[in-house]
Amino acid sequence: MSDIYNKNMEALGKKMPGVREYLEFRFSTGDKEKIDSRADLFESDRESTVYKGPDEKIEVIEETAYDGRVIFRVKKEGHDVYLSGKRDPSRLAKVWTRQLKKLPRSSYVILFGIGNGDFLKEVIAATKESINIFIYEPSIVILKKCLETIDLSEQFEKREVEILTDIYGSTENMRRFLASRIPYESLEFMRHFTLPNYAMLYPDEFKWFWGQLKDVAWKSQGQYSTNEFFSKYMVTNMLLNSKFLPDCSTSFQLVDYIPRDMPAIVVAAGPSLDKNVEKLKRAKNKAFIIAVDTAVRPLLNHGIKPDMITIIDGVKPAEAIVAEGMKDIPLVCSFVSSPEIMNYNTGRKIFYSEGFEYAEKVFRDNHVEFKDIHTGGSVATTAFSLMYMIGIDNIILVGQDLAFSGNQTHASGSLEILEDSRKATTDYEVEGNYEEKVYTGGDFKIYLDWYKTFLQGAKKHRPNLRVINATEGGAKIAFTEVMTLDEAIDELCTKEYDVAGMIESVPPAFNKDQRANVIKYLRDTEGIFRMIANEAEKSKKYYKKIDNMVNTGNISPKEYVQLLNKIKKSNKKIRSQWHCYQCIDITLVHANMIMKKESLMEEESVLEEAKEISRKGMILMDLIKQCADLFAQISADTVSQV
Amino acid sequence: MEKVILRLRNKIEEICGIYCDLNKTDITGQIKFFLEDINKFSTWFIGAQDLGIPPEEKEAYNHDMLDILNDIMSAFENRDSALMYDAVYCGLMDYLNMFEIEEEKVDE
Repeated sequence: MSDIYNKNMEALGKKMPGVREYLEFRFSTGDKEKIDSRADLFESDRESTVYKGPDEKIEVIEETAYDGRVIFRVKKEGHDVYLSGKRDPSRLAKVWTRQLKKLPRSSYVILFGIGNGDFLKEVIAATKESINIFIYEPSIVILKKCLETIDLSEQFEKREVEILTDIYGSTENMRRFLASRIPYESLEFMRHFTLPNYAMLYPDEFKWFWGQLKDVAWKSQGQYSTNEFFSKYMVTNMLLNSKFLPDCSTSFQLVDYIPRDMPAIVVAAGPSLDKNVEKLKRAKNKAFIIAVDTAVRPLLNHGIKPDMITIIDGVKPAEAIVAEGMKDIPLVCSFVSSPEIMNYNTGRKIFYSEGFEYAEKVFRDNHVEFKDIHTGGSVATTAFSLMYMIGIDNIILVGQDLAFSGNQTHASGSLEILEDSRKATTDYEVEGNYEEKVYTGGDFKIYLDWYKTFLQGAKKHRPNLRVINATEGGAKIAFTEVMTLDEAIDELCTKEYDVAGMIESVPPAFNKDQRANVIKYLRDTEGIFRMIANEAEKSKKYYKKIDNMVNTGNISPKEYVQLLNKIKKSNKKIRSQWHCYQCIDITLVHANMIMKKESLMEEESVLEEAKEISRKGMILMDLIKQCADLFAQISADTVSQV
Repeated sequence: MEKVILRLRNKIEEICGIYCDLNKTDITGQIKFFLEDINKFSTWFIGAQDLGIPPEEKEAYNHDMLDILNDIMSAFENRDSALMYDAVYCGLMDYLNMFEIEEEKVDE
């Protein structure tokens, strides 16, 4: 290795030892197995990663530009191109990086390709220290050549530069990596660039990489929109549903009461359910029939009573779900499920962990195990996941179309009430179970991808797992066997079970003493929200004082620091009750996002900064107080019903 | 020639100027439409003796112009956007900018 390489690596190692270690390892071997074994560096997606490694058929020729700088000419698969110009190699980089000068702090600049390092140099020269830089170089050979030939040590010593190379196909890892680096609030400030000729030399990698980034951005946007949408009623629903806590069971308890050799049938409400719903009668008491909320009415209309219902949605109108005959069916439910439906149903309520501290804490305090399940984002994937978690080896999917049938998204009798507001939109063409191609929408595509990823891992972990897709239509789900429902029932539903009796035997999660603790916990909630409201009001007064100081120009540094300390103390007190404060945090998702985005912007002076701090602080404290007052009232009303 | 120079200058600036992404802009494809103009300009430039360039330097200028033309042809052949950008924006453009031309006068 050249002196320049050693110098570069040494400099890189000072700020980014992990990146240095990763690169040294990648340069040391092209052996896929060995790379895979280094999960600590960059865990690999073994099934799909295509490593080119150092044996990649490429020739990187070093040439000298007219100004004496080193430039690269690359010969690969019939192409013979430069990675930068000979006359002014950094002109393009200089022009492009002009737009980076005003990026807010913590923004990301992403480069596809390193070339001869000119872009990296210009990005560093044009941006503030707080700007993050990430390079994906598809060719390990070009990267190595660059680090061996171009002295970038000054740049690496100045700034943290993350570099990944040659991981084409390692989709999940790349998504995880990008998602972990680029928070939603900084998405709009992200800037990216593909160095010249890379798209031609590495067309697949180019498409793949930017595709991953687009997906991550899209999902992040979706997640935010979902949170924003649901935040309006999420906490209200959770507090209203908390009255079910003392007598609830948990999904994890089912593991001990449901035999694993019993097949499970997950009934979703896709359009194909109309075709085979009648056949489910044959499976009653020969399989664990778990229905998603919208499938309940079609099932009951055909005289089939499911053994369990999954409900997670908090906004679906109750009239789209409730039906005569569902009153006593046990519910696997979310804390944010529609309280109207939860109240209508008198059956057992079975909760699973969703990360709401308000619920988590009560289980933790009482030493009751409370586990999450991979929800996958939909009610059907949640039901499937639950069956998997219980340990059932044969899971049959019905009505899980995840595609449109004409303009219909759901089975008859399920969601007519919503059909008008949710007309089928065909965003993707995917392989069908029975048709060559079917059309699906963005959310369905996410669930298809989720099944693929989940089942890929699940099959490795549990080789006996069989997932039969008895959806008679719809989109093909990877790693499932396609069968008609009749065939699946004939093969797997051969034994009689007292399913209702089994579920009935699952005890409540809390014993008598614990139940008393839970009720006390619920009773204490109102007081905690009142305390939060009180502290928020106090903090607002402190911010007001800072605001007055700034506006009158009469700033006493000592008093300013004292006020900030008081605010800090108050915030600490509020945050110490995280199980309640998280409710406010969730509700104020949009306000929080605005605050976070604004915090990325830098003010001209300390005075301006102080003004902004007080302005934002007063708004936020007002909102916290309003939320806390509202939740205190809801908690008081709810506990009166326990 | 003024019209040719002006047209080339505007077009190159339009194609290669700020926010130019060579992976999205088919620079070789776009420059192809102006090959005739490039040819006219370079032939005129190489043959011209009255450009105010000292005679002892003119040969070096002509040599550089030929080098640019070679790179443009090579960039076409290999669909090399980096080389094309460099040849037209960092090379040819310098020659085009040697001439002060008033746009309004040319329009008339």
